[in-house]
Amino acid sequence: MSLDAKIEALKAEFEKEASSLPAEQLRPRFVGPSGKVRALFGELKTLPPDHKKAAGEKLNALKNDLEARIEALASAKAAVGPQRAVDLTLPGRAPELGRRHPVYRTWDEIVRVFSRLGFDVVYGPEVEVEANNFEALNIPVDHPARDSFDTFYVEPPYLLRSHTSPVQIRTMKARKPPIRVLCPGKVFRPDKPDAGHSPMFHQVEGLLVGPGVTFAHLKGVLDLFVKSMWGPATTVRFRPSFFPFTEPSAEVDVTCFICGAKGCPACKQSGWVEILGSGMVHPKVLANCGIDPEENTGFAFGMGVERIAMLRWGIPDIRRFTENHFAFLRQF
Amino acid sequence: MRVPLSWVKDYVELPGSPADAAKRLVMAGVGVEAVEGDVLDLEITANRSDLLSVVGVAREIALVSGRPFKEPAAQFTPAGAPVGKEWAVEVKAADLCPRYTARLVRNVVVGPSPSWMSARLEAAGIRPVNNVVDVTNYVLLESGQPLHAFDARLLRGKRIVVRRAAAGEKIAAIDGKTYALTPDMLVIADAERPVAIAGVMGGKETEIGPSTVDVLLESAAFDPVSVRRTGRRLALASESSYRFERGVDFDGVDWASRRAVELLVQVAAGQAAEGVVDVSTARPERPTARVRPSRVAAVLGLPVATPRIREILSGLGCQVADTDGAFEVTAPWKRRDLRIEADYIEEVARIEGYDRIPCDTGFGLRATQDSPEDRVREEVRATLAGLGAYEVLTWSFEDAKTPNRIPFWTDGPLLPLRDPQGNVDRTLREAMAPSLLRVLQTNEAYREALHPVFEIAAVYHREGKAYGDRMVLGIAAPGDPLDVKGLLEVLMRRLGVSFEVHPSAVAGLEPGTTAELRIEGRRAGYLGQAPAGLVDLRQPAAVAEVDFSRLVESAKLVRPYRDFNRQPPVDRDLNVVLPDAVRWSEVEALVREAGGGLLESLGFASEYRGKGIEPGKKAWAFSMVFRAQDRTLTGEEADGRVKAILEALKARLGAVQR
Repeated sequence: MSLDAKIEALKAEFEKEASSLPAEQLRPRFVGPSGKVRALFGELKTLPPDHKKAAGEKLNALKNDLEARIEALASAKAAVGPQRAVDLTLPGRAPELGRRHPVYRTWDEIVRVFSRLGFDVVYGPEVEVEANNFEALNIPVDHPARDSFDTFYVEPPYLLRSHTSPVQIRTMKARKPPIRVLCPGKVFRPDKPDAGHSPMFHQVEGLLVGPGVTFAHLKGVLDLFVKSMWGPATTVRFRPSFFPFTEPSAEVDVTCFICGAKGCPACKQSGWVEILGSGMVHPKVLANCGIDPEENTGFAFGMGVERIAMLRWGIPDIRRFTENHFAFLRQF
Repeated sequence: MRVPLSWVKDYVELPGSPADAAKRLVMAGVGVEAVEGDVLDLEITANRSDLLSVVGVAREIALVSGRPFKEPAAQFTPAGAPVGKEWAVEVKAADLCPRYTARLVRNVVVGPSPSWMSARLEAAGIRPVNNVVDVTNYVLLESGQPLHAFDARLLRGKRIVVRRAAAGEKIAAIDGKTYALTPDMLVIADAERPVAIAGVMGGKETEIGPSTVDVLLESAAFDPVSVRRTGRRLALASESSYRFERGVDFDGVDWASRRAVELLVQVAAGQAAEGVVDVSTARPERPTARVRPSRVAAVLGLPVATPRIREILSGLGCQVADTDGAFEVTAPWKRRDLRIEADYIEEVARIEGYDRIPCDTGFGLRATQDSPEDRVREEVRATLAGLGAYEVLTWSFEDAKTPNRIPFWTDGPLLPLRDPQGNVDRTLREAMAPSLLRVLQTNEAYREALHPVFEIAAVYHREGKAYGDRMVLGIAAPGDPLDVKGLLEVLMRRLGVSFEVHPSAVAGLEPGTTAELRIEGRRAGYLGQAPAGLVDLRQPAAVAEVDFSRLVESAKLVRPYRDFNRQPPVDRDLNVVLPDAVRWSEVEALVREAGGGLLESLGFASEYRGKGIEPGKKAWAFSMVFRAQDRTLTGEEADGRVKAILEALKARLGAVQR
């Protein structure tokens, strides 16, 4: 058999074995020191001198070719990994995700909308004094209006604030108009816990004070808010109401975002859901904070974070929020 | 307040169905809780005492629907001697009783009311008693003016004295209970003793009964604050006190009295004595407000024509006078909520309709930034949630009966919370850890796999004579304190805050497992194992609390970028046996010292005790990464460092390579 024929036979043998043997076993059998290519090199000395050079070049080419093939096979296997099919119907692997509480998520969302409208977020203490929680807000002692604001007392005059409005008072005393702030925070009322009441909940209140601020601006801001929060099709309805610290005062309803105002249990079939209290800051409240009510007007509004979260996700009972069951929290 | 619409129809023609009437009222600011057939359940705001009556609601419907309102005449034919001949009224506390009227109806026949009257009372939620009492309740509902009927023959001395209670006086009220009175309470007395707690409740001894013949009828105005305080002190509330607290119509006192007499003649066959004893001391004046049309537009953002403003204010029953471009407006007593310009502007808006006011968004752009506090808050919450922790929302209270004390933030007394009834069921929490451990407890009870939980919220303390709240970040996790420390380490790196864990005692936690957390050398929180008994858990758990304001102060959320080392690293592991008492902090310091600048990082891998390790010792494995700044580090160089490290550990800590 000629050398050329032997080379071709060796190539065929390699292809055959490459399909069944791993690269580590192919290497010694073919290109190692005692491999088959080396054996062919040994036959060179039997050839006539004028054939030796060409034959040597052919054998070198064979050796390089096979080494490259073995290398390619080795790296290809490494990249593929175990030669097993993967059952992709098995569950995937991932680290476990933590959760954010739905009340704080709703708080964030409300804050985000008003931040885009140029409101600064400000905070105040939860243990307040009566003067900030009541008197400065035009809620005198011994007035029936105080009935709606029953409070936990630590020791008079210290109490747990029953709304975040004292933060508005603090802000108006500390800053000069124009003022545009948002006051989120925890508030406390000694209500017996039931599906709709909790002795501790959260409010977000807003305040805009300056020259020329009107009720029409209040309507404009809240209209932007509800459209940002629940989509451009949402509209607001303002109903007269009474709060001691605003006048005119309004309760604000939005078209029910659950049923699209067609009527459902969430809106008691009315198509409207009450979400906010609002109004023009009472001139006495401005004056109490050292702001001239002739030069400045302002509006304020407030909403309950839990209520909005309940409406948003259809949560039927406010007590779910403070139970902290993982089975509840995992859903948000 | 329950209002039967069939009753309202006596005074005004209704605009359509009950639902239509309800809608009109809602859009005028009268809350409608429910429409039950013919009955509207109304929620009247604290300012609108005039709406606490059927007539008031009818008047409002007439106003907003533009229909005529008709009031009963309240007339009767008198008979017998005038009341003033027999009866005297003396008001000794005029400050608490600006007006007191008495009328007399003789020879009544006490019995059941006619069905039309008892049906209306029942529809409104009041139980019929007898025709005389029912008339007083009927007129209370109709007019909003509370009335009281005395059995005239049981009153002593033919006189009514309106005075403050004497010290030690008591009264048996018609609810069957006896109340001790104090001198700040107003009473209605006869010549000898109190016969009613003014405006709150009548007395048992003079109440109307089957044998009553003559009725002395009281219709009065009492000071709202006095009635409110008395009712609160005695824990006594009635339909009467509810209305007096909110203020009655000073000018409606006599109408209600006449109306009741008219009905007593009609339904109890009584004979009305002529006249009235009416003691009105210093009749209070209604304030007059200046209402400027320009101000109406400036507040509402809706120009309302001047004649229209006048029309609205007159329609409310106000006296309106023109004075150079503005109105001088005086509201009647029944609208005692209308006092200043802003009150009238609200009425203009309400009658005109809030829906006519446009939405104006021309309040200008303004640059805002999240505060450092809010940025840190967001980073903390995002990081911990990203690490698999659950954000929770826990009560700011602890049960007053089982206080869990972790007096880390304050060692002052617990802060009791008093509710309006004076009960103290809760204290303000002084630390957050018990709240968070209870969350783990709840979930353990529900067979959940426990995750770490966290919250940023307040804990409370006393500051001298004042009180304060402090925002803290609290974390609780199943496992030991290192499980919590790990979360803190990742978080603090994320915030750019360097902190130290300084082992020291923390009261209330498991001894020997606790540490103080320090930021920039100052106390900023604590870490430790929850002790058995603080909150009952089956598995071990650890807690930490960090002063949130310290995180805000020290956080460096934007840090300058440092280029990273592109030279290849050399990894080396070590496994050494050490005496038990040796701490990681000692090992770490020594390894870093001996490793020098080429030692880039050092990580603890594992601890082993048991077979092959003699008692009192432990085997620690740790890994190191060596890297040069300027060249490829050779294995030989790294090995040289490892050798130096081993020698140092051996010489200084008694370590033996394993």
